[in-house]
Amino acid sequence: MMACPICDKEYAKNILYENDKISVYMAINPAIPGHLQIFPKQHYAILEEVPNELLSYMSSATNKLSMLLFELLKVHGTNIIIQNGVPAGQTIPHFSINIIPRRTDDNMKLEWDMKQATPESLESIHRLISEGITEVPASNVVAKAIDIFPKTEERRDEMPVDSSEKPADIKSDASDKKINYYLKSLERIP
Amino acid sequence: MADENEVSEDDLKNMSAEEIAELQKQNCIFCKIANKDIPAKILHEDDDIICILDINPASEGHIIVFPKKHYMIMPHLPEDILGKLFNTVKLMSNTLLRTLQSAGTTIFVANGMAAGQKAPHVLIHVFPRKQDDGLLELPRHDITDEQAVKISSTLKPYIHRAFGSKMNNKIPEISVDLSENKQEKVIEQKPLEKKSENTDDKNSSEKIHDMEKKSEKPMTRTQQMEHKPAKSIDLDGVAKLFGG
Repeated sequence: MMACPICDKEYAKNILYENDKISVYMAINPAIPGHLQIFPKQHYAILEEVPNELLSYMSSATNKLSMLLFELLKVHGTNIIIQNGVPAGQTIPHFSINIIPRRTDDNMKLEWDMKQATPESLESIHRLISEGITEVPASNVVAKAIDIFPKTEERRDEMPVDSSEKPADIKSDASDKKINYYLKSLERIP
Repeated sequence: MADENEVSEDDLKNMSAEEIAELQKQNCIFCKIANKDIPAKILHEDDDIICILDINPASEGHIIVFPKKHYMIMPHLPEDILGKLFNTVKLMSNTLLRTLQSAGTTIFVANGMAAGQKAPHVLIHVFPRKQDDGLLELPRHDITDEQAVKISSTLKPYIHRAFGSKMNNKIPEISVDLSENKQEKVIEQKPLEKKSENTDDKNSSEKIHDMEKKSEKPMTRTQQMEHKPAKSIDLDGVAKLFGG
């Protein structure tokens, strides 16, 4: 087992909350200020290893944090993203769920280009996948996915110094009961 | 149905939130897929959850996992459905890794239009990734130590509350010093810091109390997590993102 920076508490500075099951971090590589990351306390490298019960707990925690960001930072939305495996952009070999606050004007592009699938390709991929659906733990694919984590990780400092960008726009007026401002911006009919 | 589809903007303005929600439900393509009114490549389903192939995939094997019942955003989901949904996502990801010899998957949820949500029904996207396919990368935003301290001190007490635990320590004094030194932005942070130093203050933190379902009694962690998200006005408001 390779050394894990989460288990080794290398980013302890980023910890906002922890209990016996999870730790909530200020994201180690934030996409935007306010980006949070939930790690399970116990070491699991990828999603496939996380026990169902713990995953359920983490999903509840994710919702809690989404709501918190809606309320506190007055954001217009959240993205919940799991980078599961190295090809998906996972850099730390410890499973996590990202909660990313979003505003309509944040200029962040978290989208993919949609392709048009042909009926034939859908048909064949449907057959391939549906035949493979099984609860059997895929230990060998898990091993394969874990194996490609870089052995010596190229890590950034958890809190890089200096930035030419404007300071975080963290607004947290708790006494302001009016959340109409951001709700308005949500109320859009496509 | 035909009549209901002919709703003018004026009609919409006069409708109650409930009426709009009902209208959306009737017109929701994913509800129709779940009801088998619209055909789809169904991979897996049970009473609550259904998994289909996305016809506009990010990559071959792109799966959408969603609840059969109409919920607009993830925070609206009852705990049991939410847990089941993520466990199904895990099963689908596992299947993709095996059947497509993929070494990774992206799991993606958008809550709200600002987050890129396109349909008023909670969807979890699961798609296989290949090294350097460039499908979805998270940008990196460098933040200063000062910002990090501020974000941390702002969020910490609320996160602790949301999880039903009171912070043992007050906000570190350093954050107070920082806010005095810091320029404009700090003004908005002050009420929070004050509040966090006074955990008995109920007035200034109603929203968070709402999230805890106004529970005065300390709860065990398990009880806390079993709690369904409070159907507070605030949360319903967030779901109005599509006008419903």
